[in-house]
Amino acid sequence: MSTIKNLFLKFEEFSIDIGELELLDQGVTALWGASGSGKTTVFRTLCGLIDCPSLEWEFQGERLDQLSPGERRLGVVFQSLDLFPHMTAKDNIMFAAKARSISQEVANKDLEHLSEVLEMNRFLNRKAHLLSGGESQRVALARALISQPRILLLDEPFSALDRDLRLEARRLLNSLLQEKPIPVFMITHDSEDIDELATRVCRIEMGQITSVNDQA
Amino acid sequence: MRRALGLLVIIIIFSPYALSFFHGQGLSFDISYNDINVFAFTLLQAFLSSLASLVLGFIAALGLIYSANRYPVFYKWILRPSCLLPNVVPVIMVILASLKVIDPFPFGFTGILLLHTLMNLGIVALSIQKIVSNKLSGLSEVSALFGASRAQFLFRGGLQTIFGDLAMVGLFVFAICYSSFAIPLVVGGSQFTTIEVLIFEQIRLEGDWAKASFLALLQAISIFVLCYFIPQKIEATKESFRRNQYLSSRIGIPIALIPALIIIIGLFGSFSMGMKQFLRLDLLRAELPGQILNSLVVAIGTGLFSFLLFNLIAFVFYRGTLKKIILSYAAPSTVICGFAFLIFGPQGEVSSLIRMILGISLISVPALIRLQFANTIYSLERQREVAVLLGASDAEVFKRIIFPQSFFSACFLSGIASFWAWGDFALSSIVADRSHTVALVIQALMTSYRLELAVLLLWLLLICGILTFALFSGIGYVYHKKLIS
Repeated sequence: MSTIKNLFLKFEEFSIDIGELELLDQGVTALWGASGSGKTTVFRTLCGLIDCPSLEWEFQGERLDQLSPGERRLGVVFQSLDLFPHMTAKDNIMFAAKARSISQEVANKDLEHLSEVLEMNRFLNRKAHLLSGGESQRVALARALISQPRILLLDEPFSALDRDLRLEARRLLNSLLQEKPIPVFMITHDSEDIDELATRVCRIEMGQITSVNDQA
Repeated sequence: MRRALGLLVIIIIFSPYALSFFHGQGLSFDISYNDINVFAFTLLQAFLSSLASLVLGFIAALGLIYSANRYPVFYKWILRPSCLLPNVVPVIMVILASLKVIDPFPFGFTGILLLHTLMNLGIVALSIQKIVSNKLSGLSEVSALFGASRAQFLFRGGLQTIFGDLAMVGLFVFAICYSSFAIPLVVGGSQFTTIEVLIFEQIRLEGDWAKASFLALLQAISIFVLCYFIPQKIEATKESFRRNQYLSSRIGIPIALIPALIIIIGLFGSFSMGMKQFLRLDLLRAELPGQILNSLVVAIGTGLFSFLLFNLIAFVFYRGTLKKIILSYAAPSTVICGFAFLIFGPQGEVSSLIRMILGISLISVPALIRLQFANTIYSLERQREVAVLLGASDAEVFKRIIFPQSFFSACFLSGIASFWAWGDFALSSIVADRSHTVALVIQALMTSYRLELAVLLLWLLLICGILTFALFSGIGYVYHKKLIS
């Protein structure tokens, strides 16, 4: 179990007040809330992009909050996907492998596998700025996973896609998680994401966790 | 590594102040009544110059929007470049062309205001166009549907909505005018001295380094504090604007064109008379190749050193105080920069050229950062965040993410710095002989009222400047094309 404690942040007209939150070791823990409820702030704080001196985040005996963003070894997919536009899809994915010093041999093998599962073969050598929304989404997911993360963090990962692509993306993510059972922390406002992906749902309102429910 | 390089950046940009401080063995706080008057005058001229630029720039911005809606080709190829022209060409070109076209020229306070406004009107108009298009388009359309007139919309809410953004643009112009040296030196006359000119006189005439350092520091701190505490609004550059039929005006088009027209008319007038004078002056003809070579060395050197500085700054420009310091730092005092470099190191022709390269780069780069480079780097901040989260080191992030994508911008802006270097006479006149470069010869001709000959040499300077600019931006363009293809 991964435990987040004392995530307290105060801004001018808004605050985050999370005393304790437990993330599952397997499956998807979803942080579900409306726009402005504080989801993204929580997400960015866990990534280490917002300073939060009170935060304690213990993951399998290790204090992640004491590590720099890079050292936390998180796989992250932002809402805007944020692929490096000047690189090809493959270069984007391999960038993450190289940054984590994963050997070329292992990285190539993982890339092959991810390409197959995420059906990326036909656009791997295309520049990122030429990819469609659905293709970019898959590349962002592969980039997050190839770095062998402790935990996968997803920030509204399907919100930029149209309905059909969202369905497809969820299916791909599900099949991927069957292959690689790593913990996932996903923030979303979409109830369909919850219905189809979430194992645990933590509801956030006005910066506070108001309910935690495990899905059947 | 990023911290060490950040420290290096701070040392480099503040080096002129540190050098003059140590040379003057401290600061002298001996301020006279006259000095306070000079401060007040400098503040007043900077305030009025920025106000005039804002008011005229706003009207010109409405013209830009009108033209972008109705005549997109004219907007893209004529009007927009015309607005950028006075800021991109060396100051000497604006001064000389204005002296030629506006006859009689109102020297003194009005002259300073006029030239500052002519120089900044275009860039202000482009900035306001962006603000109005992005922030007021929707609101103005809704107001129009409610039946409000344009004036009602602007004065009852529109201007208030963008007040903070306008203040930022005004501050940008204020900072330029507050520390302006070349324009007050040439057109200010003896009655109207600015702080920069006062610093110049303190060192050149009285040799009082301690007081000059104090004045320069006061000038720098006042701008720095103003910039530091006013919220910085840098945004990733948006290329496309919303079409806005309601907030546009054709009256703004001629206003936007005036500064560029003055420069062009000033350059084209009396070409033949200048040529006749040139053919009569054997000495000038004989010395000119050497002066061109010197100017070329300074221009290329400035471009290369600026490129290095841009990349150093791109490396360290990420969150935190350092980013804010870089954004708040307007530019060092030209005079302090010139004299500080003059007193250190060996004397000689090569040393003068190196001093010019260092000085012009240090003056140009902060302005170009505020003009464009901060937006470029800011637009990559999100990618930098992602790369850091993926575990990439600072060096890796720079090498694979920042450098490739900021290369074009850095090359383009280094090209502008090299263009400015061709035309620099303010700093050059402090660190070098009066006839060392083409710009210095032009200044000498200008001050002896041989304007036709000065204009002729200005053409030479323009052509050479465009060539070096094309060299730098061409390299950037080729790389950029390769990168995205």
